[in-house]
Amino acid sequence: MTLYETLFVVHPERAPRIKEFVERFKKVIEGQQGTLSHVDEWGLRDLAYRIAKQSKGFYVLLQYRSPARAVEELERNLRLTDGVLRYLTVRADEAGPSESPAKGHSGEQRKTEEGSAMAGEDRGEGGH
Amino acid sequence: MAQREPGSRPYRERGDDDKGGPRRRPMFRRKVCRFCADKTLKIDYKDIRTISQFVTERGKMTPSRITGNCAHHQRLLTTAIKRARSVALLPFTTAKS
Repeated sequence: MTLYETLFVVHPERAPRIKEFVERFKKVIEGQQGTLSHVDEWGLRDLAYRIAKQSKGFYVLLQYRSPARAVEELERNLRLTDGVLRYLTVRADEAGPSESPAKGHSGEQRKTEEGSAMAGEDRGEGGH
Repeated sequence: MAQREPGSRPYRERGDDDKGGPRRRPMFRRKVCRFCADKTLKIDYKDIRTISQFVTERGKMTPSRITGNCAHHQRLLTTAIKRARSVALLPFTTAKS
């Protein structure tokens, strides 16, 4: 049994029904003797690049303790589910669940990032 | 809004000083790996606030030669950046618009 975390991005049009997604994946994990320890909905965030013509996505983070085959099964389900744009599973830090870093100020932060990206273009990128 | 102006980034701090090479310059201040200095600072692909400090405006990773990161933390940072890119938390590149 290992602690894993899976981050997945859902199509913004499916965002209102996000609970169904979480519920479904929870069943998958529990069906493989895993226990879901933490669900963190980051909400609708700007994507760093467009995926499926979308510039926004709904991010959800699942943390669970399970055998490895639960990950296999979960990822299979994520692939099959329409509306899941991206997913990423990693072995989580045993030290404990980290706080969600990007809640709330995501929109604001992206804006400043874009601003500095523009500024960077004038200067050129370090090419002396 | 200008909470993160480019000037505050690690690789901007020492402009042309780098060219002389560290040994020839007595004023050279040794760069310390930020993650070694502050053990509470964790490298996590979800924490784009921290990670984006080690990425250029174009989305490229800054070399440890410039940031002063140690090899171990640079390695962790590399995987974190790559993970963040794959879930669209960080850009692979900034397209010209």
